[in-house]
Amino acid sequence: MHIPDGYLSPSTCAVLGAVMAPVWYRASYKLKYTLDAARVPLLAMGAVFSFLIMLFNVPIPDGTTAHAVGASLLAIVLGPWAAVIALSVALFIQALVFGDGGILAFGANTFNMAFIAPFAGYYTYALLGKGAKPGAKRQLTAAFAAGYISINIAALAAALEFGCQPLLFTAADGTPLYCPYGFSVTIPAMMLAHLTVAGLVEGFITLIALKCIIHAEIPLGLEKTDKEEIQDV
Amino acid sequence: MNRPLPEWLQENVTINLPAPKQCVRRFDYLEKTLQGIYKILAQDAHGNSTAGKRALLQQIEPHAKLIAALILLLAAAWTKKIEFLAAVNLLLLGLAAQAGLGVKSFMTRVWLPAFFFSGLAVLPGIISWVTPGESLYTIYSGVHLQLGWLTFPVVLDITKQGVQSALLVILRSASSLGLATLVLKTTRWSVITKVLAKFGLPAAVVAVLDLTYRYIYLFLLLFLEYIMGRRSRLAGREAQGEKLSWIGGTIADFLRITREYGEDIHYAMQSRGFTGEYHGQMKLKIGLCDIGFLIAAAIICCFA
Repeated sequence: MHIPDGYLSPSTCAVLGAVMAPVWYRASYKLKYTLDAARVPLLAMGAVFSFLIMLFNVPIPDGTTAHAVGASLLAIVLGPWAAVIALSVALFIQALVFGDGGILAFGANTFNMAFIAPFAGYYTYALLGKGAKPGAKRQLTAAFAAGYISINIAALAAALEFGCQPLLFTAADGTPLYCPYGFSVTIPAMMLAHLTVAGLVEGFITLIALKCIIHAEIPLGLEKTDKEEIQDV
Repeated sequence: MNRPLPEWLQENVTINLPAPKQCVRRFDYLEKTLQGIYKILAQDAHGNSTAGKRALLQQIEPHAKLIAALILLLAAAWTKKIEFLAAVNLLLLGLAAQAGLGVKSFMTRVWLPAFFFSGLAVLPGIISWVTPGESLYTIYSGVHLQLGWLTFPVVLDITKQGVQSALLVILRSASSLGLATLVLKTTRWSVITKVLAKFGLPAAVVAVLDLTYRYIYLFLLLFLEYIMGRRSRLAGREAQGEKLSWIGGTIADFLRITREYGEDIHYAMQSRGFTGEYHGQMKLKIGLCDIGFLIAAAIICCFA
């Protein structure tokens, strides 16, 4: 899911970075008012938590392993805006320090994994699990669906970003300048892997981790709800 | 007193053990996670040792180094010339050797993922089915193949356009990774974040970056202990459900621990007067050597 540099044109990266700018602004604005401004350690720990989730090798039945992104889990346990910041910071450090994902492609990677994935996961969970009792089957099913849907929507976004490259950026002699595959290749290639394996891994990890979090009675959400804000005022 | 060996020790019994199977070893999820952690810790130790060396890149002022890296990165992303990208990659290899990073280490970290993983990803793109164009080599011709709904082309070539496109992607990927590696291995993280603050990154973001980077390593050590503890208690095969429930439980534990740490650090920082301001500003000390370095980078970019 981490897009390296070279696959997307600088203009695609710039557009997606520009799309992310208001998202980061909104996330920091939201957190400034719902979270104490000086509470940066909590956000840093959120980023550390996100980094650790991505480090896990999750076993899959054929004997190999896969990685989870943990975007929907983070959105459920920290809140979607805190998840945007935590995932963006984790992706920045991964790109710069560990070479996972490109530096110019940072905007694209954050758009897919730190914006689309946590919001898709959060709203799926909110919609399906609304009013469910903590630990109830419906809540856990909603968590699974959140993980499954979020990673697949993010994969589809990445496939569309890859697929538009040969349509938009080709030399006069027909040489594709960036990713050479069109939509007919990128969409099936990305979606097949995510619909059958990565989505299930993400869904199960979200479900099991949330079940353990509920069992351990760890409070959910870094962000305060509007009701709590009013009470504070 | 010399005692003779007992009879059972004098017996010369040959036990026919089964011959070791020649197979590729598959690591389980715990071993793979352990390897991931070791790799990160080893990279950090290597980075710390190289950042302190007295070589050209380590001597360059960090602001100048970051600007030069950024313009080279942009030039590599925009160029359509394979020769330019190849030259940039060779230059980066030379700089890595001069900076004391080690040619082998640099190639393993940069060229292996770029050439192998990106190479595999773009390999199907060299054929005429994906990228039509001027034929370089004909794989087959005049063959009518059909697998269900999938109809293969009658002629399948490796095209010039396909090879060029694959080389562009691979070399761009390698140059980006190489630049990031060179900057990171020759500059301390705390210096990089100070430069980013100077370039206008908001103070809170810089503080979050600094804290995250610092605590990632602390939590990696803790994670290492978790995995070692799990492995030491494992005997026999582990069911898939048990594996997943251990991962879920560990994630929940880490959520609790990171929250507790976050609260503790927050109160510790608050008690020391932290208000969200970042006071790590760095003075700009650009010398002649740094200006020369920037000019050299700009001249290289002119060939893009």
